[in-house]
Amino acid sequence: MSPPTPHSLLQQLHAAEQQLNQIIVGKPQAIRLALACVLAQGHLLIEDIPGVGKTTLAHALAQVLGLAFARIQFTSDLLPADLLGVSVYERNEARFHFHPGPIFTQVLLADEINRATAKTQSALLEAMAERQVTLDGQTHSLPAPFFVIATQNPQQQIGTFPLPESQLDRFLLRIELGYPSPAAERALLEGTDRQVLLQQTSPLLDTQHLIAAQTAIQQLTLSPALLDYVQALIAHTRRDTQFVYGLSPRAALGLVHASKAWAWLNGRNMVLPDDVQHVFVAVAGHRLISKHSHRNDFAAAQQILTQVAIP
Amino acid sequence: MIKSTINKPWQRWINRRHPARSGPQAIRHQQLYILPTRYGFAYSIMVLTLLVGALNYQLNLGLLFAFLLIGIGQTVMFKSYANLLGLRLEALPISAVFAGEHAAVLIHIENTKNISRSQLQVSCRHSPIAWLANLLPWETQDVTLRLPCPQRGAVSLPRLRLESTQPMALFCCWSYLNSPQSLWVYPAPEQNPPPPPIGRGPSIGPTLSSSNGQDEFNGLRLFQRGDAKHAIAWKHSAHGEQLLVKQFQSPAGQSIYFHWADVQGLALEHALSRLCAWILAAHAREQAYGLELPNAHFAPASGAIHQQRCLMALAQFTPTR
Amino acid sequence: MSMSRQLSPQEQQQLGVLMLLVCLPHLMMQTPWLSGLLGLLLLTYCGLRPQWRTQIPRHFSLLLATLSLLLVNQVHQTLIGREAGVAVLIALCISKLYETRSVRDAHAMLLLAFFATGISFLHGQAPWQAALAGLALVATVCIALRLENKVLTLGISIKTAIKICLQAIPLAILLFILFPRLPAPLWSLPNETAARTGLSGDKMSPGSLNQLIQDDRIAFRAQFNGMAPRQTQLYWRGPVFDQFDGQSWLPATAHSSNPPPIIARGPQVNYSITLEPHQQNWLLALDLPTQFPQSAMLNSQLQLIQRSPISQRLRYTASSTLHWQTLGNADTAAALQLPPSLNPKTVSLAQSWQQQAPAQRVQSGLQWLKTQHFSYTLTPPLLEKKDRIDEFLFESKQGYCEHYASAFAVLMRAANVPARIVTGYQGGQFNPNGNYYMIRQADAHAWVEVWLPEQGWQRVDPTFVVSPTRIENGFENSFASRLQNDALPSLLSRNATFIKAMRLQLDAWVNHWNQWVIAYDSQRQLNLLQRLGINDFLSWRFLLYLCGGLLLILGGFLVYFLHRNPAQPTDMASQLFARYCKKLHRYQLYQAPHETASQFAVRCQIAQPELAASMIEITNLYLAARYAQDSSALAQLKIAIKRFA
Repeated sequence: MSPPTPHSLLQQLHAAEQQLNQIIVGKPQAIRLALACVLAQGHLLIEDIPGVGKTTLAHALAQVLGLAFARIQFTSDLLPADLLGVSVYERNEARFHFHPGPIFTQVLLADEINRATAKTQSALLEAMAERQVTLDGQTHSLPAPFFVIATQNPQQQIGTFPLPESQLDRFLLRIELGYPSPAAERALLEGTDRQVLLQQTSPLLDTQHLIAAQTAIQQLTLSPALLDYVQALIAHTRRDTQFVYGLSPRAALGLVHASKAWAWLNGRNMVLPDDVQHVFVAVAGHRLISKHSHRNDFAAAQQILTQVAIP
Repeated sequence: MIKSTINKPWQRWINRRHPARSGPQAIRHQQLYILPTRYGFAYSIMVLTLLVGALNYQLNLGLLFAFLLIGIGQTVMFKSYANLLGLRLEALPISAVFAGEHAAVLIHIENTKNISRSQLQVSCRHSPIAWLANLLPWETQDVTLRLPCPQRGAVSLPRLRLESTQPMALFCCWSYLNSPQSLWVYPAPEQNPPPPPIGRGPSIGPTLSSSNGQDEFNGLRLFQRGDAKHAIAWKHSAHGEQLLVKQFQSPAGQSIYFHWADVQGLALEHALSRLCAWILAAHAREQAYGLELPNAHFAPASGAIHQQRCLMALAQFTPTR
Repeated sequence: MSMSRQLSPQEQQQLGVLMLLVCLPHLMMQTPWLSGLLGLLLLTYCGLRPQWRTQIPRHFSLLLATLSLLLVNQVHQTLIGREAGVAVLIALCISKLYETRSVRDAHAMLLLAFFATGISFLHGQAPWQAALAGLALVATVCIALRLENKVLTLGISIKTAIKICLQAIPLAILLFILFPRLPAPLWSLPNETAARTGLSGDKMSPGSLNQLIQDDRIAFRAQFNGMAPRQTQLYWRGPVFDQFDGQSWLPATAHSSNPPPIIARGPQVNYSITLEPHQQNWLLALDLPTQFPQSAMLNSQLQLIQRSPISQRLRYTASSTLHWQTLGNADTAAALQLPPSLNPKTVSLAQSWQQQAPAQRVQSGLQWLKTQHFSYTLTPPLLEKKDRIDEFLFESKQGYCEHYASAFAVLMRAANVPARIVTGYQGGQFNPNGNYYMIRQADAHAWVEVWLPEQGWQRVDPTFVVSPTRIENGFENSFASRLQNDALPSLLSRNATFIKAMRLQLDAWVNHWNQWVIAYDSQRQLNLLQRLGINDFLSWRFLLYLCGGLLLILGGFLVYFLHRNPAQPTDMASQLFARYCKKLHRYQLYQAPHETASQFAVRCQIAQPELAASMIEITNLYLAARYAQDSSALAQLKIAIKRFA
């Protein structure tokens, strides 16, 4: 099979996006961000109240991209072993045999991640960062495109363990779905069941194509003018006294990756300040903590965009 | 007397130096003024006393100290000046208000240099001061000035003054911003106005017309002065102590006309207030309406732009005698 | 003016700590219990609970002011004058602190803090006092900054305060050098009876110098222009005494106004002296001065005196001759006075030399001292008899310079040779670091002057005869070996060479400080300006230097403040785009700083649909040129913008 041309790759991804838009109605921005996140090889955090289609989006994404999918519902009694797998002693072979846990998949949906205890959360997040699992001194690599979509309920809800800042930093993007518009909701109510739609969905890409797209995005070059803008934004968060910490270099790198993916998805080979602005809130929102409320301040992140001049 | 004779040329001079220009305006050194504050004067007197004392007692270190204080004054003056220099200001378009309300004047302040600015205050005559605590390098922030608007009309935005006494309050440094924008102040809508007389066409003259059968009965409300007698619901009123008036509603889409004649009996401002209230009510019901004034005529229409036009006409209205 | 903001308790505390720092140099100089009380008031204020500090009733501070003024009056017996005035100022500062509520009050406190720091130099101008004042200055500026801008953190405000103070230095130095000094005070210094130190010009009795031997402090510093004389010739002439009452020597009661003419018999020695203030009106000069500052005069005793007491460190230049002859015989009668019927043994000894010539009599006296086994000691037995000179010469035979000078002068007078006592300093320690001599109080010395018919007044040092090493090697060498006495100043003991070297270095610095900062008076200023070619403060050259310096400093700051951090350098594409944006101003279209080119283009298209096509073209070309660094797009952009209406 000849390597796919960039143009055909983009077409395939647009087709996949269209498919997703049919399943999740009225959320094209969130869907494009989710796709950009996959293409930038980052992990995605979806935060919203229950029942707005978080799980559906994750499932559909895996389905459309033709990736192996596993889902774990996080609960307060979920143990790291339930996630990573266990070594079981096989009597007839007289040795330990590793039974991989649900994490050994390509797309892992960690549903309601903030319901699990900190221990389990950190087991997952470690695997996310290193893309491998170490158990009993043995290292098991995770499959090649490994992508975690975690969903989270807003933290005001009772019985949740909020993710610490260091863990939040591992998610490249964080998106909100929000209620659908009345028209979209009507279409949702009139249309067929989402589950049925999901089952009918056929993969539009395969792993190889996805990796090719990811490589193409990585190879996009950035102009000095754009880097100036990214640095100005980052520097502003560090100077601004209303945040506890400024953005980390990892966040800056994430911003660059996400902007590249966004530009590529929009069919461009150059990255523009517009791309940075589109992904900025999703990249920075969960990483900036307001001094006043000690919570993530998305409005403030949005405001930064109006406070920093484009060089 | 003297103050006013000095003030006038001064104001003229300031206006010449700060021509009204729309869009962002950078503060350059020609437009920046600096004077010592009262505290600054006290400081200089203190330094002078110290200087004379040290000179007389031949205390060279005292002398050096006094010179250091002079040097500090000089540095502070430059810092005060630099705190405002190179800012870029822009008064954003102001949305119209009703008389008696405060207009929110949004001023966009942009820092075009790699230094932090602090404690900027924006003010204009009659308005409370708007503060900006800190402006980081390259940052832009908005401050809102609450401008009281007691009278209707098209008010031109008064000259804004940006000032700061940083860093030690020894000097006050300021500049002005003149914006050609005008601010529309509509008449204050009357509280609980009587319902507009309904169903009249663009005829001229105060012909009273009864409510037509096309109008649907909509409910009752309390009698107000100026209500037509035939609208009073005598039957219903008999049950209580207060007079009730029948209310009718035109079916949606049917236009109504507000005539100057309808409010002729009232004082000018009161009349305009009532017309304003009617227009607002009609707009809220998404009903088409027309307005006829002695000097202007607006055919029935609906929508924000139509409402804006009508209200502007009311704001500018001057009775012709 | 808007209403003054109320201070927070933290700000009040900061002001309290600042006042504590500012008042410190003053409190150290006041009577202990008064400064203790005032210091306690300050400490109490700083330590008060925040809510109490805001609730101090107004009349409390009034009460405090009244009470402390009464106290000051009690201590100083006055409320005016230098010491009392400072005490009043401090007391008022502290009372005012207690009623500080608003920013306006705080402004007054800050001005008081600046002022109090400025007048702290009334107590002295030593380097450590300057350092303390510098610290207080930075602290005051720091508090002033924090008061105006609550956003500032402590670290940033300290850094800014230091920066402001450093930036003030160029102007301060320029003014310090060029600002004209007053040659004489405008109003006289309040008469303070400051503690006198060093030699006394009132009286010399055995034992008065003995206390000075243990005094390590510098009396003055001397720097020679050219070769310095030998150690044995370094007799620094001070007060002269010619009345003997049997116990003590007193200065002459009546002076004839003119000194006897002096004829130099040797080369002239030029030197300059930096004299520490000693609150008396005589100056020191090398024996015998021929040229001296105009403010001083030589009296008939050949003593250099000045009209007013030396209350400030004084620097002057003088010339002396080491060998001389004086003319005239004025004062010789007074120099023969002796209390009647005292010291019979001494008188009879002296009368045995009556037949000799006067010069011979002096030699006989010295010879007698040499042969009679006198010894030089700092701890002589106490002389208690009425005939003290007899007791010393014939019984105890132990003493130091004062005893010898006194006894020899009496001996000479009894032998009918006019004689008198000269006190001053002998020798000095050479400081190679600054190439000058340090003369300490411990170098105080007394010797005799006799009048010989052909030569006039000549110096005779009987101590030299008794203990030649004391004069040849200086006091330190002669005694350190003999007396391992703890009472000796530490510097005089020889074993601590390292400490000695360090102290010499330190003294060299202090000397520079004194010469260039403290003693930079109108005379030195004129000298410096003359070197720059300025002869007069009204000359155009002076104005040129002053204005030139001011312009240079102010211009430098102007450039620094106004042109630092210019807008970022822009590349070609953004310059072109800025030109395009300027063209759009015609249509009342302005790009917001945070607005991207594409967003701006959308807005422009809506406002000016007829120009949409060219706007889209320009925007796309700009984006390609700027963000894809496409050089062909840049060329096209140039053309497109030129064409754009």
